[in-house]
Amino acid sequence: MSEVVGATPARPAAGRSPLMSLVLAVGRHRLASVGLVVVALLSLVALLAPLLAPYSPYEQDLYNVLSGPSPAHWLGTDNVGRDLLSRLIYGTRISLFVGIVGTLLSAAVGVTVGLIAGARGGLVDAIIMRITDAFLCFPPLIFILAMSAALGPGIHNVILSFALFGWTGFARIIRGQVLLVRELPYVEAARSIGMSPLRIMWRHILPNTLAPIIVAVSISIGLAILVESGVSFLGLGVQPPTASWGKELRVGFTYIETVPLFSIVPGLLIALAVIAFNFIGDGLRDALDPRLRGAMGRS
Amino acid sequence: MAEPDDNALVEARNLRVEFPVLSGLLRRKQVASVRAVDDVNLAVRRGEALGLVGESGCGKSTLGRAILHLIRPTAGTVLFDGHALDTLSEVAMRRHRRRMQMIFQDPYSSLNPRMTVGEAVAEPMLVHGLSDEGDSQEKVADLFRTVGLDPRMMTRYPHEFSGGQRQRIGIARALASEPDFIVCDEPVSALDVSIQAQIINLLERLRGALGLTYLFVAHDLAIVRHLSDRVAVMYLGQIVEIAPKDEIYARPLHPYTQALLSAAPIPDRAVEARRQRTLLQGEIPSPLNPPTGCRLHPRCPKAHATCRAVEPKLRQLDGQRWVACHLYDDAPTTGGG
Amino acid sequence: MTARLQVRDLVVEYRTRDGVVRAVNGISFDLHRGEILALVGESGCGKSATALAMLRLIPDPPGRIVGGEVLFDGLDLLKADDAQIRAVRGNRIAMIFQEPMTSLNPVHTIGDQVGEPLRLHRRLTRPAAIARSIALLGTVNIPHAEARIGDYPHQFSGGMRQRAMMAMGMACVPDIIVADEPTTALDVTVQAQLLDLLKHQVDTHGTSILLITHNLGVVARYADRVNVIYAGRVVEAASADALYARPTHPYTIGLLRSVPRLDQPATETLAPIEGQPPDPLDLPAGCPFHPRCPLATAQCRREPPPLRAVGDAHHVACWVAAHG
Repeated sequence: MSEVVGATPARPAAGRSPLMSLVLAVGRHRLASVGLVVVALLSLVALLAPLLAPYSPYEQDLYNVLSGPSPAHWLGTDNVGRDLLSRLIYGTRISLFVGIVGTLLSAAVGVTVGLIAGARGGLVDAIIMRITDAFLCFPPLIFILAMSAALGPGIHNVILSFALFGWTGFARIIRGQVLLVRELPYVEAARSIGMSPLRIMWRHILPNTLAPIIVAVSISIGLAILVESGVSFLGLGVQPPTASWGKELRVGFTYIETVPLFSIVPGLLIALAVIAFNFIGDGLRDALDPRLRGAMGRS
Repeated sequence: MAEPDDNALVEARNLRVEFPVLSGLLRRKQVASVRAVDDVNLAVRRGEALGLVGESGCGKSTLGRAILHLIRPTAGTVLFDGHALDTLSEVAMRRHRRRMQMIFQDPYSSLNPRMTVGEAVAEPMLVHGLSDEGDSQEKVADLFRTVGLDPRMMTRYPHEFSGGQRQRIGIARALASEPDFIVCDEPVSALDVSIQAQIINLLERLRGALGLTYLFVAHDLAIVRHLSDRVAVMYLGQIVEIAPKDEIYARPLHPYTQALLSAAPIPDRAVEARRQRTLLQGEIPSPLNPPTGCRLHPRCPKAHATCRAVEPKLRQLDGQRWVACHLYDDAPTTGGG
Repeated sequence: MTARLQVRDLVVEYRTRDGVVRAVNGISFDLHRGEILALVGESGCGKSATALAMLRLIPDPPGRIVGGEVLFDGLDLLKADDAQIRAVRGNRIAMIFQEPMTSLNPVHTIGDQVGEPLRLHRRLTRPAAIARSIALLGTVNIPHAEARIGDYPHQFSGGMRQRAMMAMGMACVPDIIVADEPTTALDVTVQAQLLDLLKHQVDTHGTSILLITHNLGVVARYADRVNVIYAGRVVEAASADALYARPTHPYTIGLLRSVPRLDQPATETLAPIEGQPPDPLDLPAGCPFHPRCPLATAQCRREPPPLRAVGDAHHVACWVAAHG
């Protein structure tokens, strides 16, 4: 062959997968790395709850009701003498579970519906989009509270109510992305080699619509945790004797004047988790924005 | 006014592509249509490179895509190796795409950023069952060598490559399904000057080595001269002149071809100093509202009354030359096609 | 005759996530009255950054002018205060950009925008500026200018917008027009018309033009002198006649050999410049062109060559060619 083999790449970066570069990019984002550490710690707490909790969350110490912090009970006890620290450690499981499952459920529904709307267009698209528009009229929290009330108390109904509202956001995002991506030259290139529409959707369109979904997922987990807390606070979420952050906040709120830690600690945990997930979302958004990725000046 | 050709691999017959023009805020209604390609007849012969030139908006890229049925023609037929593409079922059409490929203008956006370049090149083979996962790696490595890339770079992602290298990847991908016909849509116009020649040479070498047929769509007349056997010139959706390349460059017939050639500067000071130039007036009119008669007449220095009223048809003059211009109405028509 | 504009040892850097890019690495040139000086090079070579830096239009961050002087009318534009540089921009030095689509503001009429430099620098009233704009649009061959003065940019085609940009640039009859790839986005037939208009401005007003382009054909047709730029440095500076008659730097020779020509039958394959353009984050040591250069020696890999005279007003930065 008479030609040169262009062996030098434009940028001497190693053959790194996009996912790996994304994780590294998020790690470089200061707030997002704080968020990652907080979420990692909370997940660890949830996973290792039986090992970490000094007591069972249901064990009552009736001689110590509503006590303040003591060597035996670091955060004190609740109104029926259960160890607050242990209840909050187990409550982490419930809160993260609702956050993650509620979000994954809404994302799964939303992405599927959004893909169909974006890919099919026409009447299907119009109907789906009008439905999501209708959801926009409700304030999210009010809608979810109303749904939870209608479905009845219980953790699964909280998740269901959250997903019933949450899918609309994901559907809107993904539909917009599909409309954008399907006009890109590499999708035309895929058509030109004779690929079927389904395979193009799966291999070329879907993977390239996911960046904003990843951002939305991280923020939505925070929102779902907040919603669970709110619903449980109002008595509709988890039912006694199960512990969740929102439940503890509600019970503790009654005694805020005598045992302030009882409500302050769960409140702080909720705030911490929500902020951590939002930081990760911000970091992901910056990391996924190609304009912020090693942008260089023109010649 | 067809240009029938026994040796045609691809033939466009009375091809027309219209795009709807939508208006209205709430309810989008079609208020008009733009004829991007207007009644075009064109044959690409087996083994030739046909250059298709024109300025932006003339419809040359749309024509290239309509010939591949990437855009559905509004009317007319494309014959590929004797098959009328519009009669094929969707599945049969997809199978047919193995033999007709495209090389895209923008090497940055025509590759999926989330696939390794090796996967991108293997994809056409897998889609058409030309290889299985097992032996595709070896075939991809061969293709990489064919287009002048190091096969060790197969596992990298598109953003790690320069523009010229990405275009080589795009070419390897187009070759992967062993096509007969490739539409090259401005394949070098997004590349740096020093890289363009590398790609032009590669395309030229591949055509000889693999016996490919090209439709080479471009606006740069010098590149078209280098890479084509015949040249078709397009203006506002219509073909105004077709000729073998050396004839069209030595003696352009249509005033538009003359103006195009004259406007393009030559990188040689001594030659530029001697050149006589004829300039067209004004801008290309909107294809929404093309002029009556000959579409060039408002800008043409040689326009006369007939040009304003009657649309000239593409006519065959001597030998292989075709032109759509009233200046040659009296010229004798000779030769058969 | 002293130069109207002197650029000395200009250095511009861009900070990116992957490191600092030195986009302009010590570029110097003079621009005289009534001449067209072309800065030629490929994308990323620093030619546009040079033009932007001259008027301190480099967006900071990520860009930064690290060193050098731009002397105009006894003033170093790089050290001038904001009021001084605003009095120069659009008035005595005008700029025409590549993108006619985005360089005009979509919410103001063409007439308002073309007349804006006159209201700003000449203190014309709005009606007077509009009247002058009509005349200006006429000179750039926009038909029925008085009827189209109230149009908005979206009502103009790409070529017409670039004509309007030119009218705006010419409004104050500047000493210098910096034209950054002014016709790259346009078709050849329109490109020729617009460049002819610029040339006319030089002939009638003695305007100096800094023409930034990658197109060697445009340079051959319009430029009086040429600076060839590679990796942020001037590698060859010469009169256009000398450059095309006796190209000396291997990069210049390579560029001229690698472009196909309209006036020559394609008898042989093109001679491309091998390899890839340099990575601005990782420039080679010594002469930046050496990895692609057929003549490179050990010295080229070690030391960057200075710009040295090889003929009358013909300078080349090359260890090998300059000896010959």
